[in-house]
Amino acid sequence: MKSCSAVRGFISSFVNGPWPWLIPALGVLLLFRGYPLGNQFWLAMTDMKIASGDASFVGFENFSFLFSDPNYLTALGFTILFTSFSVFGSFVLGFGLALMLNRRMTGRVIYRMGILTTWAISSLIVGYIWRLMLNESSAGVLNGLLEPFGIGPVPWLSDPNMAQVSVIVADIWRSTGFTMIFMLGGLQTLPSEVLEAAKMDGAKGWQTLLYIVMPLLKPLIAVALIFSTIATFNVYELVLALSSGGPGNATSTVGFEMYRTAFGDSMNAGLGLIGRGAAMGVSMFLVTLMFALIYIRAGVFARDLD
Amino acid sequence: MTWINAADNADEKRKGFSFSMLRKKLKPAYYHVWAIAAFTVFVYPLVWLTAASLKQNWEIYREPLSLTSSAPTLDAYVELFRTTPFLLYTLNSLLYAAAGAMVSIGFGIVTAYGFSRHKFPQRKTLMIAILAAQLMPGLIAAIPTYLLMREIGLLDSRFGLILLYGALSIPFAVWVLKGHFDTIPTELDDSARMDGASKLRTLLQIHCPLLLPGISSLFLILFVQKWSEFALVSVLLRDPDKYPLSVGTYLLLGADESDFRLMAAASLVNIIPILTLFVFLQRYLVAGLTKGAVK
Repeated sequence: MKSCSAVRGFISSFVNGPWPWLIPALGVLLLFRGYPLGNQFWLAMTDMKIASGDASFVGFENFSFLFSDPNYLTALGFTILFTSFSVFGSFVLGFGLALMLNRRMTGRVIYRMGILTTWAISSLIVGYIWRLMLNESSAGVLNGLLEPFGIGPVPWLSDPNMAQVSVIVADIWRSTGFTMIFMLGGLQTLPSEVLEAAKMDGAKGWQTLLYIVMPLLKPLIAVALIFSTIATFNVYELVLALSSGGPGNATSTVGFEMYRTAFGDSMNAGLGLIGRGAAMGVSMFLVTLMFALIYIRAGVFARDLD
Repeated sequence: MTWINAADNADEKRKGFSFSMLRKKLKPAYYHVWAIAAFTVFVYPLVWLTAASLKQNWEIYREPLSLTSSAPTLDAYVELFRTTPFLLYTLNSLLYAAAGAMVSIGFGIVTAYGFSRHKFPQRKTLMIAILAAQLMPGLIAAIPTYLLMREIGLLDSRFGLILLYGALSIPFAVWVLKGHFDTIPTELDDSARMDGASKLRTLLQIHCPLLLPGISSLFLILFVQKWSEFALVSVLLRDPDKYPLSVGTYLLLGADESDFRLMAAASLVNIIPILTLFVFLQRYLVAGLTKGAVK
């Protein structure tokens, strides 16, 4: 009798507690997010191919292969280069534009809106737009614009180094608007008294920026940089559309290489090396996890947890 | 007054020279030059693309810079929708984006309610785990996700894709909606309970109407995300009748580069609906997005 009521008490506290509200979503997340992310570590230690379901355990063979694979190492090198330049470029441009468009000036809403537009366009389509603009036939608009200045024709996508620059520029074009809006939001939260005080003390514009504005916005700057690093490091569609990783594999990234390895060059027909692709996926996961942990440790969101 | 003006007065006091006066007069114009330059860099490509899609192909090659045409025509769009299944692709994209967003929001509301209205020991840990899940792009787990869908028989399935799209955005929806729930006073819950309303009824009849603005902006963001998605859908669907616009565009533009005008038109079909939403609802989109990002 006593144990019966204890069980009933447990059930009723369970039903009235948080779990009935949380279990459905947590179950779905565990299946579609948790399981694949965990399973990838196992897959990376097998020699599974996409065609056959069975696989045998090969230990760390895939990983040791990657570190001697020139394709992977080239892709990793370019991904790091691409991420550094793109994150830095879009931050400097976006923050600069935010500072300028935070001023009272006629038409600033129109300027902001125009600059933010590209953020709404998917990476795949940004890649195609730039491929059309950088076209090296007489239809390419960028070479057309440079011609009167006696420059070019520039081999935007056929020269390995130029192709790398092109991919970086296209990504900065895509992401700057978001950084700008994000930093504008931060600038608008700054207390005007502090800025007034700086002005009274005779601080110059750049001194105010360096010693007052930037320290105050430090958490926001960190968030902007971490977010864009995660998004940029895991690039795939932009490269696929703009350069297909070429010429050669000059603009191949880790994400692009992973797809080529696991699913093949054109969607579902190709190499089909699931195990090796999963090893690349694990490497991307670990890098992303590192930045995610930095973000979580920074605890910018902590006020929402109480 | 913004901080950037701060230098002006100080400069003047120190130098007392007309040069700084001149500079001060020129400054507004100077900023407009930069603003217009930036605006052009970001908007000109889209204008050029639109012009290219309305030109004749020979015009594109002869005068790539011109934004006008001697005989503007919608032929490229007619050809696109007549000779390729772009209409079907568009409808598919619409379905995946809208249904995927709805699934995330449905799970999101229930879960955010649980997190907002209950205090329990594991709450913080769980919220952080969900945040970590939100920070992981879908691309990272593309291979194991493909295998999972194959194992549970949801490969090449519209339902499977929608369920996956919905599941992947649950974390974002939970974080955004919990923020909104926390602004609803619990006194409302108490008085509803006094009146004999169950928790579920309180959620549906009292909370949901109050959450509607937040839900709408969340829906828009998720819609734009799903509409643009390519990496996962390109390996999960095989039947060409089920392809969304992103995959259809990849197939069309990846095949050959001969028909410049058609490629411009195909790219534009992808972005016109999104840009339309964007121009009219930008305020909501940006508000919702920065909210989700900062938290």
